[in-house]
Amino acid sequence: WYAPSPSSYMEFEMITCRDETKGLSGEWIHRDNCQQISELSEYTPSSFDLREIVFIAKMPHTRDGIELEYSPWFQFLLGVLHVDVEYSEHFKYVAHAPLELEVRMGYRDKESKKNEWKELVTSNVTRILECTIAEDEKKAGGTYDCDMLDLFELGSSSYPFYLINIRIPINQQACQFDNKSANCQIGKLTGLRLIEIHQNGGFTLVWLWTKTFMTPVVAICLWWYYNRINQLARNPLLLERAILLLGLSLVILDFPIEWISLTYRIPFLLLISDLRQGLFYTVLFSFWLIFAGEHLIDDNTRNNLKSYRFNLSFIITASLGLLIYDLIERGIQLYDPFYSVWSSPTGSQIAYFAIFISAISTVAYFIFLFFKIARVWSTIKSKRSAQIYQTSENRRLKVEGVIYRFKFLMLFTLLCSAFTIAAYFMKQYGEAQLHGDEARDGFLTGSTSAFFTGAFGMCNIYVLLLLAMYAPSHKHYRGASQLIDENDDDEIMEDPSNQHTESNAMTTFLKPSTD
Amino acid sequence: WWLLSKTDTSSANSGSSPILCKNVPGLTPQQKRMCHENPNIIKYLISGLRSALHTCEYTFQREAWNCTLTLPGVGTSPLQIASRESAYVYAISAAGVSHSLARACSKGLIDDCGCGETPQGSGSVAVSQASSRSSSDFVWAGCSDNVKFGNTFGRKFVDQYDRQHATEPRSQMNLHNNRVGRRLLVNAMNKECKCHGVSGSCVTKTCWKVMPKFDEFASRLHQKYQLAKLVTNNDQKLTVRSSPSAGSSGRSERFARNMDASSKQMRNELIYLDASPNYCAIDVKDRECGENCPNICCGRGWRTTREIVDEPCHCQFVWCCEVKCKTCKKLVERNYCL
Repeated sequence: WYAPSPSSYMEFEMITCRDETKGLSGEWIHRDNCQQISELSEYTPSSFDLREIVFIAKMPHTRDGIELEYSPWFQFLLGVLHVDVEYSEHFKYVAHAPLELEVRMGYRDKESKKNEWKELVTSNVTRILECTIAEDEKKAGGTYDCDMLDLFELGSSSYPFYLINIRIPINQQACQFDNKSANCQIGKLTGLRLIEIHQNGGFTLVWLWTKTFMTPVVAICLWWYYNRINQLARNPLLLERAILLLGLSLVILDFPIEWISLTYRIPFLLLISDLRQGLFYTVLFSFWLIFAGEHLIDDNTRNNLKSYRFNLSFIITASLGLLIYDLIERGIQLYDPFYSVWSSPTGSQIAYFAIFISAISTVAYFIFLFFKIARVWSTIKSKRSAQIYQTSENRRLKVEGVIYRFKFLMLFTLLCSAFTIAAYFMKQYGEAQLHGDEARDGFLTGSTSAFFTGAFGMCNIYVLLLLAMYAPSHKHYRGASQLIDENDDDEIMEDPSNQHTESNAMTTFLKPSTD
Repeated sequence: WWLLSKTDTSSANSGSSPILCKNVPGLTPQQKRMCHENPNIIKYLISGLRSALHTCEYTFQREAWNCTLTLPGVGTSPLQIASRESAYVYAISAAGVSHSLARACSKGLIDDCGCGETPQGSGSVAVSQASSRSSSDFVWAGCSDNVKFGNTFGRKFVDQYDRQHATEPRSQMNLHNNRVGRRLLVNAMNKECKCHGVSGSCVTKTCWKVMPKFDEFASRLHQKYQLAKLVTNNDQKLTVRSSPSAGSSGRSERFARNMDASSKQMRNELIYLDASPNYCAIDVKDRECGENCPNICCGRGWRTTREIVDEPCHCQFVWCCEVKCKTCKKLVERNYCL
């Protein structure tokens, strides 16, 4: 009984029905009152605006004679629309044709009667229909290959049943006046298909328990780390503060707030979890930068956030860009699940701009990061070869400590990312295998969710180890082999009898071996 | 074989009532029972069969054999001969049934469709237990499949007769070709994906399979028809004797090898036992032959008639259909065999 894949889908080929009232009565059209149109192309409409044709889908399907229900465990529901367009000599599809849909989405509670639907949202949806066709398909019966359209995105699946009614109105006067108006150039539609995607309940369960177990562990670790820092005689270093922040953002990321969504309706959960992830990555990236910077042994501008402001600004820009995009997309979707930034030209420009800026800053960030890491490596090398600090035991230990500390984290980070990337490719490979000629559920099917839990666990372990390894120790040392943190160097030289000193974890760790 | 052609004739009176099941001759008792128990499903099964035969006729429009299942002139149905044509008909009707059932499932018109993992049981034992299991399975891992139900039900119904006679070579051939049709349909499905990770990134991605248009599938099957393999009956087993067939010059063709028809290489190939009858022996008089007259009319010549027909023209179209048209007169040339 392994964990299922993170998400699954259900396909709905929408039924076409006739509605003489053209939707003016506000009545819901569902399967049981549908006057079905079996073949759309053979249908002769009696109206000009075609509101009498309704595409309907009830979600979810009934299966094995049992009415399936959506559960709050699904966390989100999103719908993708496929438009099937057939080639027709008379009614041609023109590229980038605007498609306008009148969508009504209703819901039903478990208690209410079979076809007692309540209004959830009504919306006019405009999308751009992008289709291509091969030259040899350009004959009657040939079909276009159309891009799918995002239809809706619900941040919580709080009702068991949904019903969708879609109308595609056409204004023939407007079409004659300006053939760029909506629905004038969409070609000959043969049907609509809706694909609904949700997170699997099984995956949610595994995920939530992982989070629930991880949160206290990380929290305790963080608390311990915080205490250690507080017990120091000096002010915490910038690096220590960065680690503290990293731990804090991980706790925020881990916190299993999703449990609440199982009993209450929280549509903004999707947005919150996006924000939490964004926060974590921002802090992680900043941490890497600070970590690399703090190991430039000869650089004197350390332990000061201001000296990183240039590089940090890249991270801030990147995350701000994504934040704005996410707030617009997911934020407005709270009110109108059918909203998409990409549907309007200005919206998609803003979205493109935000994402473009973020991408550029991220790339710039990584270039600077690698540059910095390379500098640290070269410093280490030169220090090692010069052996300048051999004379002073204290100094030597310090430098060695710095080097080992850096190398360790470097190795560890590389290992973690290598594992994650390997797992990702394993997953891709598994998927490719699945879609071979003889598709069978095999060992690699479950690896998708294993990948997510694995990557998540790795992330946690990474931060936990950071908290543990880089916590300042406050043991007391006597005699000459006192280990002092780098910033207290000068003080120590003047006052060797200082009894209360602290060192970094790695220097302590190293002490017995170097002694 | 009577089953297929007979159901077709019965479907002409748009049967939807359970009476239909009793009136169709040639059904086995089990098929009658299934038909009686699932009138709703049978409706889509029949429409699938009809569209399969329709597609067959369309595909073979321009060939000597035009997919007629009953030939008035000769008296024997081509299906009674185990030729490659009947292999094609069996495969396309099995696939047509699956296709139609799967579409009805994805439209939500059949309540009994399964989720794909477990083949649906007879449903007589422990209904309440099954119901709670099924919906909790849905919450746990979703329910995505439409095709498996079509294949399962189609197999149960269509293969019924031949399953009972599974020792006969002809039935083995039919079963094999039915299976090929269904498998080909599943393999012809396209994969589409949607990314829905953080901010729409591809960290999480969901993929699904899209049923191909039936015409598309039919043209693939037509290729298989042209490559169909002759098999011989060797003590209850159908084996392929590789004959140096015309056109194919593969290296393997040189070796005379005997291959089990159920082997892996043959799983996607249509098989037949006998050579096709001479379709020119049938009366092709007055058959419309279009552009391919020398072939269709078997060298008996053809005549061309010119007719004036009314055709809709200057039509106004909206996205679904035509709204209003004028009628125009048009001169059409048509060729008929002599």
